[in-house]
Amino acid sequence: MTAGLVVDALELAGIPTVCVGVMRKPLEGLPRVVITPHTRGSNFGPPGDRAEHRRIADEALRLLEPH
Amino acid sequence: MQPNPYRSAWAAWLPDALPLLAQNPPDYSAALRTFPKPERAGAAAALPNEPLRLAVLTSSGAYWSRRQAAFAASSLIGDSTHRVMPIDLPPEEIAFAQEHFDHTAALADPETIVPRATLREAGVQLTDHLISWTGYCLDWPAFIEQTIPQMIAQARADGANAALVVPV
Repeated sequence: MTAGLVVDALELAGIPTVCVGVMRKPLEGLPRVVITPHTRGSNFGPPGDRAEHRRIADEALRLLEPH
Repeated sequence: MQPNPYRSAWAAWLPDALPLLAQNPPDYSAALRTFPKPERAGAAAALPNEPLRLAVLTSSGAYWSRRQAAFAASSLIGDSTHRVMPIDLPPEEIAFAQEHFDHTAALADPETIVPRATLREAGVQLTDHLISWTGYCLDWPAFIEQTIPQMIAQARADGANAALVVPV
C-alpha cells in the first residue's frame, strides 16, 4: 500500500515513475505500472532467469520513453 | 496550529487496531478494514527527453547488512524509516527485513527485486544509491511527513530524472 504513496510523491516532485509489481489492486491508478506473473519477492522473475528479468525491465523502460 | 486531518484520522484508528494486530496470528483483515488513507494526488510527471538517470526504490525492506540496522519487521505497526545504500553493493551484503514475503529468491539473486545488472545491460544509467523501505508500515503519518520527503530529497540529490519503484 505504501508504494502508491511513494509513487504519488515522486510524480508530484516531477520524477516520473514506473512501478513493477505482482499484485494489481494496490497499484491501480498509478501512472505507469507493469504487473508481472511472478510471486511476491520475485517481481522480475525467478533467480538467475536473466532473459525474464530483461524482458520485464524492457517493458518497464518502454513506459518511461517519451511518446 | 490546525491539526493535520489525516494524522487525526489515523490516531483515531490506532487504539482499536492495536489489539487486533497484537493477536497471534494478527487479524490484519479486521485491523485494516477501517484503516484511513489520504486522498491520492494522482499526478503524472512529464517524461524526460534526455537519457534516463534512474533511481531504484523498493519496499522490500532491503538494507546493507554489514553497516545498517535491519528494519523493525516484527513491530505491530511496522517501520516507517528508510535505508539508503550504494547502488553497487555486492549481492551478499544486501539483506531483507520484511516478514510479508519469502526472501529465498531475493537472497539467492537480488536481481529478482532490484535488477541493477539487468538495467545496466539495457543501457540505463542508475543513480548512486538504492533506496529502500519496508512495505509493512502502518505509521503512515510518519511515513508521509518524514520518510517520503527524505527519499525524494535523496533521489533529487542523486540527479534522478525517473524512478523504478518495486513494491514487495
